[in-house]
Amino acid sequence: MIPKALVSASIKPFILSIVSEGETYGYEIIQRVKYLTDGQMTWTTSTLYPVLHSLQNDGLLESSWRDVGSGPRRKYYRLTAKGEQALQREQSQWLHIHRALMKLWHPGLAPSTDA
Amino acid sequence: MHTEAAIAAWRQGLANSPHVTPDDLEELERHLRDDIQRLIGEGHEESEAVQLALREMGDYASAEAAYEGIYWKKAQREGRLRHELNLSISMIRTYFRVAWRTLLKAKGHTAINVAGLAIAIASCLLIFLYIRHERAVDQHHEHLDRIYMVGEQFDGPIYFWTRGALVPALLEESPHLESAARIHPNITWVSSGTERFNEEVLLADSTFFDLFNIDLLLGEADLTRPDGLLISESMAQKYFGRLDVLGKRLEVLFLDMEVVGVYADFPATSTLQGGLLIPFENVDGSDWGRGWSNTNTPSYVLLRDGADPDALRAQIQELVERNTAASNTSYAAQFHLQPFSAYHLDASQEGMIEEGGGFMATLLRVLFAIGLTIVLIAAINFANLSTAKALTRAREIGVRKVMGAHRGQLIGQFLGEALLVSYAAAALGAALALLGLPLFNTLLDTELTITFSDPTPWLLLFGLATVIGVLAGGYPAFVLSQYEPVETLRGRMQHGRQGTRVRSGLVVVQFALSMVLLLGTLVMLRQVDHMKNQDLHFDGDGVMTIGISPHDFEDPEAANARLHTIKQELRRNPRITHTAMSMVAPGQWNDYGFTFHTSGNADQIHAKWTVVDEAFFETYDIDVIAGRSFSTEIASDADAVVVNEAALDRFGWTDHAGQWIKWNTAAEPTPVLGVVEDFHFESLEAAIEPVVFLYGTKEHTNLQILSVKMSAGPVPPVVDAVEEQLASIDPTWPFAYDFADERFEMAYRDLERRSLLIATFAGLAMLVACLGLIGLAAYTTTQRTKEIGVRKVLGASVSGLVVLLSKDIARLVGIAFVIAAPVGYLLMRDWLDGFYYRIDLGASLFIATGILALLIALGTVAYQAIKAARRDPVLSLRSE
Repeated sequence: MIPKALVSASIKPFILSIVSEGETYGYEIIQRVKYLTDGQMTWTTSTLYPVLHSLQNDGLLESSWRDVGSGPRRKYYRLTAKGEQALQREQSQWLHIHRALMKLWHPGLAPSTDA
Repeated sequence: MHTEAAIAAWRQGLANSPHVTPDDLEELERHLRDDIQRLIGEGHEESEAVQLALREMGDYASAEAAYEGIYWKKAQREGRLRHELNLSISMIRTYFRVAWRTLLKAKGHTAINVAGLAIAIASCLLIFLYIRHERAVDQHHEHLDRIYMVGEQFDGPIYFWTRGALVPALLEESPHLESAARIHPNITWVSSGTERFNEEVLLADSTFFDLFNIDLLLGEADLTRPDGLLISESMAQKYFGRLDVLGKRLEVLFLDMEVVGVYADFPATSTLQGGLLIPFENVDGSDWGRGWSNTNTPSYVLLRDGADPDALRAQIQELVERNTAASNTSYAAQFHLQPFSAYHLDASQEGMIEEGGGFMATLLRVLFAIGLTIVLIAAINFANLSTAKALTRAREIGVRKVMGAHRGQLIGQFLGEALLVSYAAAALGAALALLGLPLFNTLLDTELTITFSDPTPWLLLFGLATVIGVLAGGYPAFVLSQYEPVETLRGRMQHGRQGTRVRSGLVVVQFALSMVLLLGTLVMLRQVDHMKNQDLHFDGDGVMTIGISPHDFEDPEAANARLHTIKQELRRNPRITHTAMSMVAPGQWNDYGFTFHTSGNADQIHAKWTVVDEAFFETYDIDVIAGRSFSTEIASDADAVVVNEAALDRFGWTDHAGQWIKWNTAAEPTPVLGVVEDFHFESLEAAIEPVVFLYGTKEHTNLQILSVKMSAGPVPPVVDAVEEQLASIDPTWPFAYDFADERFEMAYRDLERRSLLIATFAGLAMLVACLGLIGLAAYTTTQRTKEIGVRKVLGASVSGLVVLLSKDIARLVGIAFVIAAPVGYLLMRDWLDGFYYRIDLGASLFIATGILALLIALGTVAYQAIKAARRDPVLSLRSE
């Protein structure tokens, strides 16, 4: 399992990246993360929703409700322009770390920073 | 249907949270349903899918916590924070209001909690004030961290009287010193005209002010002029009725001196005390005060910044050895440097430190531990009674939960109740402390105060109440709020076995702590009693002592001659059986020591010395066990000595015959005339020291104590007769007297006071523990009402039922005893080690402690037990 600290650190880029693929909802995000990490990272609702809401409060996401037949409605999330910028920042930061670690672990394979 | 019911129940659990909005709930429910659908799609049974999905949703607590963070952030963003805070405050107010009603409903329970906590808080407050006061002693000097006292150790304690020649030599030679000063505390007579008073004065080097801070009000801090002195504020008022007394003249022991400065009185937290500061030049110029052999001068040094105390210590050692040319070894002095800042706490008695730490440091540690113990006992009561009581409130909790109260609210309510109790207790505790303060001050001979301008005690009070409230109230709050409503409503929570075990464990802890305190108290009281009844090996009954030195008079020779005549004349009084003169009286601290040359020993050996006349041993009924005492008939006795048994031992002699002592290598040997039995010159805390008695003939002017032994009968006529006689030397001389046995009483008074103090707090601790027991017994008997009823109907007797109800308590006391006995034994053995004459820690003390604790505990629960056992079984059975 992936340690809690790493889960917390990566939650924002994960959400922004998944939402950037197209409109989606909480349950789907959790399933997607589970799939992407081969089940190594399983978010609970307590992990996901507070962050989703806080990203929405910060203006990075926007949401809308839709009826889905019987039962409660479903809330869909979309990336805003501000969210797009935030995602780019996240990407660049994570890639930096990724490159640095790759240099250490596989010196031959590491992509060069000016590539 | 089953799925819908489960989802509804889950929804209900979260719906109560104030931080989860309906939108949030809808989103989560959709999530749950999606998950259930997927799991069914994957082939799970419906009920199984519901269970799995609910598990994945996680517990309520973490969901609530997660949404709470978001909620506050959002509230802040939307400017709702203020409004929300107001709402929270009104909620807290509601908690307190509900708490208030609940507490009033259970008056007895509340009273026990408040009383116990109040006693604990008051005790803590008083102990805090005392510890703070003692820790502040001598801490007001600017260079405190660099001030050291020079101490000498022979083979016992370290004494802080050293050679008078040391400080001048150090100032000249030592690179480690910034300054140094000799300070001789003395009691001497002072006069501004006709009337004389005896005053505490300090004879100090002019370097005194380099080391110590005084608050100079007028004039100069200057002790360089032999006839210039500084006077304290209160002395100036006493002698001149005003403060601006610069240039005024005072007569101090026949020296005509001028006031050159006025200083504010030394604070109560100063070990240095004196109404006058007099130049050290006025100390006896002989070896007694200025030389290398006598150890009579307290000396203080101020190290340079960064200097190594060890290097200075080594230098002092070398300097003294060089100057005394001590051939050294076994009894040569070892020098020590004692940080002045720690002196007050480390000292065993004035001017002395014994191994194993001082009484003050120990006392403060013990008091701190006692304070903590009492608080712990009270807090345990609080937690125990609250959980016990709250079990009977299980239904209330259930109903509240069903009505929609979520866990946080229940915790809030219980904490509100606990805090209300502890704040009420703090207020009552403060009042108790204020009421008890005068008694406490009398007991400890202090002048502690609680004022509004000093915030620390109030902060302590508030902090203590909050911590106790949160900890003691928190435990029941968290446990109780966890109950499932269904269980509580069915009444299943009433007999939690685990809860009973925890409560029993806590009662055992309480009783073990109380028993340790009880044992400590018994041991201390018995030790004090032992010391008071110890054979002193002298008879001070009816011996009145008067401090009167020939040097108090203008013509010491003439005064001395007159004094000796008076000594003879007094014996004609039919009520007076003996009179004697000596340098110090038994029960007075004798600080005169010397390293003697002795027959049969190559090394110089340290012993105390004092001067007595030929009638001294007889007056005090001290047996001469070998040889003889001094005689006026034999002229050569003027240069002879008598020693005590301890000296015979220390000098390695089997017999006094043919033995001698010498003051220095060049001196003529002084023969030893005889040996007196060991008697207690000083307090019984220390062993009897070796003493060399010199003969004080009538030419000797060092005899300054007149002892007058009277036969049984009224005291005042004898006192009057003595006063009248002494007034004939000089009518202005201030007459004062005391009794030898009273002085010993004085020596024990401190110990007695401390024991009484600890006994008081131990009693309070026991009282608090018993209060808890009363509450718990009431609860237990209520719980067993039905059982008691059934037993009675089946023929159980009242006594049988009382035994049944008391059995549990007796068992807990037993367990507590098993824990307390070894702990108490170790602690008290350590404490007794500080006394040379001490009691044995026999089994009887432990048995007494155990029985006493058991009786107190059973006595406490007996009332409840008897009440319950005598109750009409019909009523008992109807109760549920």
